[in-house]
Amino acid sequence: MTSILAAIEPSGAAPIAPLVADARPGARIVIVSDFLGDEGAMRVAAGALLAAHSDVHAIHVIAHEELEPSANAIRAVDPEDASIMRPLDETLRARYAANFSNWRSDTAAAWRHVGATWTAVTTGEDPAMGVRRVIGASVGDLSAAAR
Amino acid sequence: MTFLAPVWLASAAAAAAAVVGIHLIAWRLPRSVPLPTARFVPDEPARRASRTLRLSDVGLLALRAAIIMAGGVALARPTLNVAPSGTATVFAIERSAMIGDTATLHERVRAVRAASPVWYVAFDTGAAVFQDETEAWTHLAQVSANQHASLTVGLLAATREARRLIREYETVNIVLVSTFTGGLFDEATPGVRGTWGDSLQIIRIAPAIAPSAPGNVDLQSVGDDPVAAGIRLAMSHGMVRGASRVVRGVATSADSAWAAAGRVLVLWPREPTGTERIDGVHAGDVTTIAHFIRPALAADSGRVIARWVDGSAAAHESPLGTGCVRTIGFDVPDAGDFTLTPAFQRLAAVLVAPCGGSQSSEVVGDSVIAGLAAPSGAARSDILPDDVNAPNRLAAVIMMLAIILAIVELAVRRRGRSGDAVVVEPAA
Repeated sequence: MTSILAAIEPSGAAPIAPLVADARPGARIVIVSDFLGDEGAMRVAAGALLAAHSDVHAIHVIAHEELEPSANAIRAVDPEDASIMRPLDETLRARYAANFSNWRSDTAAAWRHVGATWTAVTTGEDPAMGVRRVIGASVGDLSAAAR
Repeated sequence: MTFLAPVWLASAAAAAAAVVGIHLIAWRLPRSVPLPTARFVPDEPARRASRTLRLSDVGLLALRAAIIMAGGVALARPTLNVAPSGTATVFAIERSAMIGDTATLHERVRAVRAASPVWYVAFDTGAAVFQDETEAWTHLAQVSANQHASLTVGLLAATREARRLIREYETVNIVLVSTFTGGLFDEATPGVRGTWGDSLQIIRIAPAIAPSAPGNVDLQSVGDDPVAAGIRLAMSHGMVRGASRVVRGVATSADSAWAAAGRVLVLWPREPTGTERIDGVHAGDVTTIAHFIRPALAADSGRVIARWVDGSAAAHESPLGTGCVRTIGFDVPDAGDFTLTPAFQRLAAVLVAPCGGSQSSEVVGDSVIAGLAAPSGAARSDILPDDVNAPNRLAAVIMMLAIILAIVELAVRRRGRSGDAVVVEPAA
């Protein structure tokens, strides 16, 4: 599985919501994404699965560069939508960080609200630690459900 | 090195400084960086200027400054200074029919000719410049049928030549050799004289045509001819000058040969079939209004010397040898005493005047000639506009250099642009 994932060249903006909707009820679903695509539709589909006694774990992967963009002035280009090209310099960086942080909080709250487990991992942290955090969060969630 | 238009140097320096200033203000687009969360960046204008104290593209800047400065230096018209030394003399010699015997003229000029280099300006209504003495005197010895000459033309050519020589010689003298008759002067003469600050040496030549000498008209007419009567009366009143022949019938080869020897043949045919009416004829400075017989078809070749009041030609003059032939395009009626009036006699005097028209042969007053000779007070270093507009080889070479540098700059700029596509540009 690792080798399959390693061979993938990320590109485009493939929708994930249809895949989630097609999942078998009662299954355990783990969604690893940046949630910058069809996040709303995905959440609705995940809510339906959760209602059907499925487990849904949302893992939000955040690139280190997204949290701390270059200190120099750059033209930030969305690789999934070339029409989004905006200058980013020191004066705009704080507002960018605030916007991104607010969006992350709102998204995490929304997923948790539908009953999913939400874990954010960054590309800068140790992958093993990230996996442990995800598992820990899942176990904690399951324990809470058992109680 | 001196510059004839130094303002261009200052302009070029200012432009070069502006180019340096522009290079200090770097307008750059920051590099593009993929950022999936770019949507969270506030949407603001995509360009902004950043100032830097570091000169960008020093090589390109040097090229651009060099282009501007080279162009400025070329436009400033640089001239290489050569230390002037020695003395040169410019003889401005009148060449008109008034001069008469050129042998006398040659002797007079030789008497004042110095051992220093000499240039000759021969002038009548035009001017020719010679450095070779033989060529000059060959040109001057040719009999000029042109009674008209202009001191303005001569002075203009002489002062221009003198100004050219002043760069090479410490002293340049102008010697003006002329009859100084009134017809040589015009309104521009004092102004042109004023452009040369130094005094002029004057050599006065006695006019060949004495103003008081009465003219002679050979009348080839038969029968009772009112025109012949009027011309005879004009001769008796001393109004006619020069030697002329008036033919009222058909001219012969003998008449042509007579005119070719430097005289005037006036063909004034009778016009028994023309239209008689009251009209006006203007010739020289004379206008006469009377009953004239105007032919249905008039000759139209040669220089117009008389016109009707409606502007059409009434008489023409064509050169023949050293003389000329005039064709009069009107007649006067046999009846009446118009030809006996002073108005007709003045008109006839103009029509039979020496070739080239009448020009005052009275020598001007001594005070006028002394005024010409005296220093005008103009600065010696004054530059005529012609000097500024004269071809400047050094300026042309420098301008060519500027053009070559501009082409090189274009190539360097294009190469720089193609390089920008693969080289990550440092952020401003």
